[in-house]
Amino acid sequence: MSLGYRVRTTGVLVIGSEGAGARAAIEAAKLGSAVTVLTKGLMGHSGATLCAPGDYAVNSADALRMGLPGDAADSPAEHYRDTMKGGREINDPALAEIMAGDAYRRLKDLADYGVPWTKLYKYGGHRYPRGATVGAVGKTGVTMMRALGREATRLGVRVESNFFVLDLVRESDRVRGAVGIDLETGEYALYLAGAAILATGGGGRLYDFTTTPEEATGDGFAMAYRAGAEMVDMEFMQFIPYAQVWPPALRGNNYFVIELVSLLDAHLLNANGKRFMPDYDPANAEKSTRDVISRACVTEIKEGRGGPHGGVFVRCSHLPAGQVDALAVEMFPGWKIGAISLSNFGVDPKTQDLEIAPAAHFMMGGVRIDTKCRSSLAGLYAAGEVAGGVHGANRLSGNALTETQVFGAIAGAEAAREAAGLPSIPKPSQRAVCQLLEPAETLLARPGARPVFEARAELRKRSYLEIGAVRSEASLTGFMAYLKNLRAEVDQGFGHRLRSRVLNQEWLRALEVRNMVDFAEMIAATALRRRETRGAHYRQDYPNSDSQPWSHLLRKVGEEMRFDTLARTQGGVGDRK
Amino acid sequence: MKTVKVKVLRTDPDRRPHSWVQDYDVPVVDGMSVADVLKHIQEEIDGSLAFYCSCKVGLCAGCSLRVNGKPSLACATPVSADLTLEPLAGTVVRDLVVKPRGRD
Repeated sequence: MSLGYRVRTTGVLVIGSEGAGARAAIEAAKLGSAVTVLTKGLMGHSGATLCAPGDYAVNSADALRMGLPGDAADSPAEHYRDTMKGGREINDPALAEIMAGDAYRRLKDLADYGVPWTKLYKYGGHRYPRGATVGAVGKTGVTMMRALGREATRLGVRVESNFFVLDLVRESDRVRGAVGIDLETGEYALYLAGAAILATGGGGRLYDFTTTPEEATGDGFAMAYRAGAEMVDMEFMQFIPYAQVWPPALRGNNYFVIELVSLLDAHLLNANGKRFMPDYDPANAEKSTRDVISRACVTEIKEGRGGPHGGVFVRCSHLPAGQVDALAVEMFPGWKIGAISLSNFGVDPKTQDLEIAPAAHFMMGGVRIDTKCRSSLAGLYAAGEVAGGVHGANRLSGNALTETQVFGAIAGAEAAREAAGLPSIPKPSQRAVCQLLEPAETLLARPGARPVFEARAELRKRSYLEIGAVRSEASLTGFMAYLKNLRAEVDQGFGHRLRSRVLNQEWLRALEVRNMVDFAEMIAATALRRRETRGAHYRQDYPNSDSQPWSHLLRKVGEEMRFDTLARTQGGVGDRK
Repeated sequence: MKTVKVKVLRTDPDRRPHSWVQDYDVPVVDGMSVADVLKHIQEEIDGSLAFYCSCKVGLCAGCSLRVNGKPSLACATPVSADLTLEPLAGTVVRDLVVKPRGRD
């Protein structure tokens, strides 16, 4: 198939424009690189960073140095220890150490870019208050992204919004750029670069119930995997138990409930009105960790004790009204976060139970990187949620924002250095480029039977039930068989009404489903091979943990998945630092 | 469950004329937002409809559009009666999506 495409050349190519991508672009531009950012949505109006309601994790002693109410007894080493413990010991210790060690410097960078850090909170898994925030809930991510966007613009970073990257261009074991579609015109384009940085975020939209934004369809995991990059810990998708299932306008919103449960003594009840957390974790009940609460909620729902919209209930009506009001005044004045006001949708947590369920929230696994953010492929770097290893089997609150800044900065600097030292970039053959464009052309030109929205809805529903917070050999093998059929359907094309190339969202959804299939297969295949329970990965048929912690490596060789394991050292935590 | 009439100002660069108003009947329940209505139309009635929605929690401001003439966020605006939905001022790419500033 011969297809037309335009060609652009840049020094450093950044795929993804939000927390990690923007920070990488800033660092590379500071070192003198010509930087182009490609982003599927709109910079500053998409992605998960700006949805971060609250905290950036930094050790409490350094927070104190910044004027926040921290604790001098804390240190980067303590932050590192909690991160490893939260990750159930399978984090890459070198990456966790860098995250804890650089957190403060990158927090100060953000302050220099104009982020006014004002508060510090203590969240689950952290032994000290480490969650730096900007004012009320919902302000931190938005404020960070405004500041990062301004800084990137000031440094002359070129941003292409509404650009969907299809695949990485790899020749003789080196990534030389990427191909994709300018969604506003439908034109194909090839971007050649000295080095490329993946900063595409996560893939929570694979699941029918999620807190993640529309763009999070696992594109980065899929394109890295197809290019042959080594992936790590792909079975670990974190589910957060506080997302509202009803009413529709609040579906997936976890901001209100997370504070009611974390900071007040709100209760979790099943449909029979029974408070159930003491049965699952007598010592901590509702203050247990995200993985334990998620499992408890799913068990209650699966065993028929769920509510009319498939959730369990959060109750505050037993709390003194003054206490609930005081929390609202501090965290979300007027029961409003961002533009969403609970009363506009008929919700009053003081008198009504809120129906909630665990929602896909954060991918711990991803592209395997070294301490310089290098992937296993020369010329390809990764930072932020798309990279794996920092959080192990379970991420602690606040460490996601920290990860974006710490590793974004490293990836930007390292990619800039590598790109500067390279001779000119050889152009890949037209044949090679067209081969990468072909699946997109097929999905547009060849009419299939089933509407893409129907196929996508089914994939998301099945993912939630079969490769979600609770897994078993039966659910995973059933899902793999289903996925094989869906993959064949992707190759044949979906039914669609619109044939245009200009902002054709049916076409975009079909391309995303292609990525979601690769992403889902990585999750299912690794989850099937991990015959234990650890962190976010819960196997009903293997409820115990192996005595020795290990990580899962995975890469594509030809059309096959090749698996490997990597022993992690238990108890090695205290030996570092 | 009741049904509301939703009028959408649509634009298709490949069609003549480029713009027209299309009516949809959408079933609604209490506690639905304009974003829920748009998703229902796209996923259940007419896959060709284009709109922008990212976070759906009132933070990204990507879903800005005019609801009954007034600039609003689709995700934060409750639905109780018939609606008219139009894009914000600017160069329309398709339907309710306008070009980002600096690109028109």
